[in-house]
Amino acid sequence: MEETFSEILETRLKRLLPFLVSVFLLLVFYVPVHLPLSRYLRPDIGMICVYFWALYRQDLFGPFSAFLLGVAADSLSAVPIGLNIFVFMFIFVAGSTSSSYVNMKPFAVSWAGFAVVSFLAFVVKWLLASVFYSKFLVFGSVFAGYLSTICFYPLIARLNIFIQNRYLANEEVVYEQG
Amino acid sequence: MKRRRVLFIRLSQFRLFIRKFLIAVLFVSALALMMLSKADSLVLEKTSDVLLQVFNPVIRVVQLPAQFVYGVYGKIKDVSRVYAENKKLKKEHADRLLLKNRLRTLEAENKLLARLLNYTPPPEATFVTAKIIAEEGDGFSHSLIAYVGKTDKVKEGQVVLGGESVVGRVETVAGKYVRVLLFTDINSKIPVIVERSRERGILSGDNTTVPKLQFTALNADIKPGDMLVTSGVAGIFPAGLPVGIVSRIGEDETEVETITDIPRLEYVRIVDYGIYDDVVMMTSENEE
Repeated sequence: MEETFSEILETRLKRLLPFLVSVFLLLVFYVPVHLPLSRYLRPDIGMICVYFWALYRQDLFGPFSAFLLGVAADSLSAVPIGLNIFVFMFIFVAGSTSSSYVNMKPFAVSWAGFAVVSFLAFVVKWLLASVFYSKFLVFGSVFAGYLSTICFYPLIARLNIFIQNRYLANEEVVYEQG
Repeated sequence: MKRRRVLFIRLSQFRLFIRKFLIAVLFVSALALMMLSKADSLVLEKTSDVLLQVFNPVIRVVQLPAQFVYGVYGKIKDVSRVYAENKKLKKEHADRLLLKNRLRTLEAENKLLARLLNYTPPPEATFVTAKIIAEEGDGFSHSLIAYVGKTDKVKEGQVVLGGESVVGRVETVAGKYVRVLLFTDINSKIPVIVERSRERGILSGDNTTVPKLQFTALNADIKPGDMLVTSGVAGIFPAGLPVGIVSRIGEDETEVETITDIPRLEYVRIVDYGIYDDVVMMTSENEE
């Protein structure tokens, strides 16, 4: 039976959903909330999304999606272009390689995994930015960002789980070890 | 049957190889982009501007619910503040009336003296008020994105004020949006002067909430509570604009507190003092 145009479009959109949701969440967290310290404790939503989708649905969220999300994050931010791309690629590789160990385990395991991977990612980002500016950035404020990112992981992960179960549950799952 | 299996294994291995190769290429591309942005590539700058124009309308829509919630919360808070504020404003109004009279006398005197000296005043500053639609302030960068609308008055390098003090400068203009580099960002260096003692220094951002005063004399007369104003050196900022207040003097560094409560800022003023264009023109003439 041949698929109609709307069916094809729906399938394509569904396959793009992880990336589109990640871009949307990235934009949401740039919105000013005017609360004390809110802008200094902003989580890195891109890291959470890349890790989550690389862990559970790398068939729908590939390396190119991580790269494009990095491009979006870099264009919104005043950081050097390429910094977020590199870090998101790092998270993607770490997430997809640890996929077989973390998959089907309790949620706390993926959270702990994210805590380790994102710590390494923040260190890499801090080192790259320090090299770029030829000056060590204050690690305290970087660490505050890391802590808030870990705290936001359950919330964003739950949202992504909802999208996965509601819209992507019937999509084919293909895990590849890269 | 066996041949088909071997072919399948080879095909999956080939796909895996391609995937690994793609990841390696993307990593290298990220590093290459970083090197290009270090070299201030024009193509990269333009691409970033285009992306900024694509994403920002979405942010403007996304922020509407957040803005509504904040508006309601702000109104409730405002009601409790109104009584105290009204009392304070009445007192300030009385003081300002006295000041206004004194100012009028000084203005007249100033005009007379300027005429005697044949002095040509600088062009008056013009400004554009812009609404903040996105912000970031983590350990890697401190910036704002503001909506200026359709205007050709805003240019790169112009001074950005929050309230009456400097908060940064325009880094990028992308259509109806501008990116403002805050003075707390690591890329920001502002020549300043201590208002009381006229000591000079450079206010350097370090991606924290407290920028540092650097390059001051060893025995500089600086105390906590001293007001820092722009010195006008380097030509980007005009002299005399308030920037911050000295909050702590340590052994190695002097910390400065911002005057404007940046997280609570909703609007900024982008001011054109007409001096940045002159500096750019002079620099390009010198280069030629």
